[in-house]
Amino acid sequence: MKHSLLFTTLLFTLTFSALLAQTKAEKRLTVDLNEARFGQFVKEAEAQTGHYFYYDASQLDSLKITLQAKDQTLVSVLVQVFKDTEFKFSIDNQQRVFVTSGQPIITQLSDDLFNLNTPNKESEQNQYVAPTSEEQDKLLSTAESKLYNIGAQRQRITEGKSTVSGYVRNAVTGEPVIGAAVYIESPSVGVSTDALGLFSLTIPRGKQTLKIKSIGMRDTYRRIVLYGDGKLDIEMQESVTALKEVSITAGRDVNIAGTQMGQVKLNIKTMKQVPTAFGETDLLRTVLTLPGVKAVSESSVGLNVRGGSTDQNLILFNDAVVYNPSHLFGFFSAFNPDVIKEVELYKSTIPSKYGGRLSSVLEINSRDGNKKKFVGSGGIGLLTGRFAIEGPIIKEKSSFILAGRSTYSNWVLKKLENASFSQSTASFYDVNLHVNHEINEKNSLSLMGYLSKDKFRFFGDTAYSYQNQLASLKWKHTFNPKFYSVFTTAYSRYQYDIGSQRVPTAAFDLKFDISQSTAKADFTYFLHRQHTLDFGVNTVYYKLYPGSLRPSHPESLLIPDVMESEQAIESAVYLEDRFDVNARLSLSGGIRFSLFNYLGPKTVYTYTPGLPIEKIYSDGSQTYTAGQNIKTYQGPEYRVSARYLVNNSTSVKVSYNTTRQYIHLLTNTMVMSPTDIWKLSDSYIKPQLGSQLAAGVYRNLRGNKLELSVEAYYKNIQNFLDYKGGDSLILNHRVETAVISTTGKAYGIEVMLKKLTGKLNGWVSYTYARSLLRANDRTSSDAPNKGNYYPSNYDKPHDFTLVSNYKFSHRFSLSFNFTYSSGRPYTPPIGKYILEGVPRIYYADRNQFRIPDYYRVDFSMNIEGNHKIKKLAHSSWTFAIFNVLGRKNPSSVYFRSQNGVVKGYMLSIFGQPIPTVTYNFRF
Amino acid sequence: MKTLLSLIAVVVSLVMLNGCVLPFTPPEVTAADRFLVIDGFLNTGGKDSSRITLTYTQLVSNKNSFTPELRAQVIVEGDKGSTFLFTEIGKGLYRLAPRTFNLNENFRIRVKTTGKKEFLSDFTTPKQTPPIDSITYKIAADRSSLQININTHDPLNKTRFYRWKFEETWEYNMPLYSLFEIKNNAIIDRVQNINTCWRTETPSTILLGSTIKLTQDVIRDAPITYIPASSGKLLVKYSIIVKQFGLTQEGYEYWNALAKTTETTGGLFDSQPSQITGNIKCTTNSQELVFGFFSAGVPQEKRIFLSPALGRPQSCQPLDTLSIADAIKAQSFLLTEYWADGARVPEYITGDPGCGDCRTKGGNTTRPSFWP
Repeated sequence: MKHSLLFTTLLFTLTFSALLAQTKAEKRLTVDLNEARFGQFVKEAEAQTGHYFYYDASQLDSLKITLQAKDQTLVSVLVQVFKDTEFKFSIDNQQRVFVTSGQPIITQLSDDLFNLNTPNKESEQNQYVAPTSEEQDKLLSTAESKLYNIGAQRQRITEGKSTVSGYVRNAVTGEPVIGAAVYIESPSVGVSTDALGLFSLTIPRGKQTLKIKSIGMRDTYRRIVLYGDGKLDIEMQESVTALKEVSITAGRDVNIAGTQMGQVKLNIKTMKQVPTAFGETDLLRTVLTLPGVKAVSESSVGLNVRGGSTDQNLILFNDAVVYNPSHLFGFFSAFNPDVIKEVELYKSTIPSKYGGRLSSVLEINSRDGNKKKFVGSGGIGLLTGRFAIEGPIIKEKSSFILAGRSTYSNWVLKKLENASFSQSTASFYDVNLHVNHEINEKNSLSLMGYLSKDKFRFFGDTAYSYQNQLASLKWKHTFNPKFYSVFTTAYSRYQYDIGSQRVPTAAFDLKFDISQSTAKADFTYFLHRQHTLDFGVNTVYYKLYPGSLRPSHPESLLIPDVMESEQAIESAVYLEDRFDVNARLSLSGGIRFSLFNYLGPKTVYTYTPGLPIEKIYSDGSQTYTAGQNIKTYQGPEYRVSARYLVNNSTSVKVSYNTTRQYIHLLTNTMVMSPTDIWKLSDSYIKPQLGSQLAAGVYRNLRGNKLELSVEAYYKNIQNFLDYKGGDSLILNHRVETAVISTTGKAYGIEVMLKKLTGKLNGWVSYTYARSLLRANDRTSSDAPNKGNYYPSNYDKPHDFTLVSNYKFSHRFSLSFNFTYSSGRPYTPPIGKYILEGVPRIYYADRNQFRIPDYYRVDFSMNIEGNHKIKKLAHSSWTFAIFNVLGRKNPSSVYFRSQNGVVKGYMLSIFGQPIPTVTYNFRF
Repeated sequence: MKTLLSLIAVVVSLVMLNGCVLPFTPPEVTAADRFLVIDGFLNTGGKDSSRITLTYTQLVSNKNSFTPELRAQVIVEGDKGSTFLFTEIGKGLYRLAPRTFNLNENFRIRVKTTGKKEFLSDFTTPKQTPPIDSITYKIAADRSSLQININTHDPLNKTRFYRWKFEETWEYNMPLYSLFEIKNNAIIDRVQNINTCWRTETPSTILLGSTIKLTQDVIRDAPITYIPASSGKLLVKYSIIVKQFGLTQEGYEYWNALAKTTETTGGLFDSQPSQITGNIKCTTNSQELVFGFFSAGVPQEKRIFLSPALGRPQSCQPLDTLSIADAIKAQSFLLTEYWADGARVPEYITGDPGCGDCRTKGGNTTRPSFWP
């Protein structure tokens, strides 16, 4: 940077001194030109002054000259002609005029060149400085050395501002670069590219240098002359050297400058360096290392964000909702690392365009696929293998990526001699397809399909299977540089199936199925330099089959029990304005209005008003026909946030959010289970309502190398469902009688220090958080803990995480993780009694005690093959040890009366160090 | 390759097996209240007496026996006006002699304690239990285990909910035979045969079955117990008696909830424990807990005997040959005499009591009265 500045300064000085040298030229010039070509001007000038011009006509054919000069020197006329252009001129003493682009020709040696005794400032200025190798590099890069004219060119540029907009793309793959910072330094104005890689920057007209930065990409710049509003697409090179760079936020000072709070972005490179139990990069487990995100158990990937339950996260995979983000009961997450590009978590300020879930939005985007060449990649781990292929369909226009992943655990199980294992099966697979097509500069389409299936059977008896099916189609359309839109349709389906044929007369097949179809239109309008509007509409149609039990054998005596389907429409409109009041204060205000209609056909049980909703108070039922509205819920959601920049490296933010959720996960197990059932809000089950107030201080230290953030929040949750003790939730025709409505509150403080660059990178975070629930009907006999607040299952007050990576060289890096958290609460037994000669336990108030604290150390080592860019196949090895200390961290504790004695047990899942090896390749 | 496979096996078993289980001692709860437990049912069969036991709850860590409630008043009331007073036998046990009941009547229990507290159950319908059709068993193909199942049906399709309890008894022999024993520092012929014993166990597992979702009230091959051959129960002769109870739906739900909270919690996908009390409430103080589920009905039972000769007999060798003095001094476990050439007194071959005394394996030398 310093060098290039010096270089630029030298160039200017050089030009200027050349001008000074020529002030003696006597002959004057009079011209009157209007939109004249340069050739015309040269003719006139040569005729009047007797100078002779040397220039490259092709370089200058686009220059139009409008000029009136009377009796001026050639130099002053030329200065006016070339003002605000890249052209330089110099005149030698033989009256030759050399017109060059970028750099003037040195026409004479410095006067004191041979006078070595008197060092002179001017002589230094006149010296030709050879560019350093780095600069040479950049000079070679034609895009950077070229001067781009933006807008209708004219000779004179009027004062004022214009907008330059365009796409930032990856030069190799053609994929959009999202979140890249595009800015000018003086005055300091900048924007980030959006989800399409689009930017729109309003800056003073004239000559400008646009700088473009994005993590993982080589910094670049474009020199432009801004005449008026116009378009400039920018291609960025991937930084080959930054193999393991951690990037947590896209723009380096987004942490400080953005109005968003509680927003974290992780890219695939970061995820890859977090060690996991089975050696495979796990998106959700990486998210779990972030402050404010917890899971009930280490084997679970159900996320509890800031005291919210696992069903309160809107998990979007390319805009399709994911109902079960796990494989193998939660040991793997459902996303293939080969196709993921990045994941963004919103835990406090949720943009207005998202809705339907209370606690957070987890937006997962897959890669677009290489638009320039075919690339294959894959990995082989101890339990899973995966493979992906990507490439262009129409070069530079459309691309695809197809990826598959499966486990060979079945094969391993068969090899085991233990009979109970060899009769068990466990397998899963998932397939991703992503097709991307750029129709033209203003329109692009992307299509995504995802399918996953899990199957397992323990000891040859009951078989479980579940599957996710997702599809989405997205059309991005740019109306003009200030107004663009995204139209999306998406479909998600989750179903599970449990069956047994052990006893033919009781052979059964239990099924659950939920699907949702979504259509939405989102618009962004850059209304004004200070205002950006986001608005849109969306609608979701839910179809839910809560359960069906059918005989699965001819001899089966089972009576089919099929619960009625449920259906509903959830619609919303939203409007959000980002208002940059001044350089320091930025506000964002949004409103979302959602409407939920629970629809027939359905028979709804009625209960005597005024009495608890219990089976014994049921007084009949009411039947609704298809499409008939059974129950409507509606209400506004507010999303407000403000950022105040205290100084360039410190900001303070405040936000207030309200959210509504019309779908509930009914569960009475500790961790999210694949056989949990979803339930739509109905006549009795009200939508969940949430509100969160958050405030934070953000400070970047050491020139943005270190980011420190402190955020505190207080959250309120209404109508969260808890279950009544002992009631079954599956195939319960009166599920409203089996649940209790609760009010929750959660509060906490999160401190995080991130280091983004350098050999050592990673983050350290500490969280103190509480999450408490209380029954709405505090006097009911079913109210847990006598109607008082009790800790939720995921209430773990203290949490400390260290994620670090040290790069020894470009090919070798080490990762080290440390996690500590308080134990999960459990319900302690307080007494025992004897029944039929057998001691039985009874339990105290819910979640009154805690299991022992949890801590774990993981370690991994990454070895890359050599980095020759042209090579048949690139490969890397990852060696990792999960739980290096082998600590038997308890996941749960429980008590059983066995042979007359009540015994306590502690269950730990990864109770020993687990070494793994993974081989990854790419060709 | 073998090492790699076993490494993979470790990882897989971790996934499959829910990891490892360690003992856990929770922090002590000291301030728990004592609550009444009402255990028993009304036998409406007319042949057997009905028994109700009243005890109190205690702390989990308390190793003492459960405190009984003495001198309480235990009454069963019918909704058609009949009342039956139980008589106290002692140790908290109250009994009602066999008698005939009006089976169209619903019954409830009322207990008045000496502490002036009154407890009252909901009315419950007497439940007829159909007889057990058969108890069957199935030996695993590799002869490593045996599964016992039960079959029953109700032609009237009225029972629908079942609960089973069982008691198993098995005969076993020791590999070494002891002919002598030391008594009062003298070696005498063994008075009692300690080579063959019978052992009885009553597992506490709650076994439930329901046909509510079936078109016919038929229970087929409902699992009762799984016996690995390595348990040694199946070497000589094994017997199981299964007791079958018809339940009301409330009764079934109670036992099901009790099984869930006391037997199957702890797995990550098991439901969390909740407080299960039963169908009895305290009328004098609604906040007071009381445990127990009062029901009425007639249980059915069936016993079978099997001799599948599964499992491997224990293999043992004698330990030593000792002189009389040494044997007495060491209080050895004696097997047989050994007469060395020309010896005037015998020496004794000794063994491990664990190889010759069946009582060390928890059994009893008394042949049960039902043993054939």
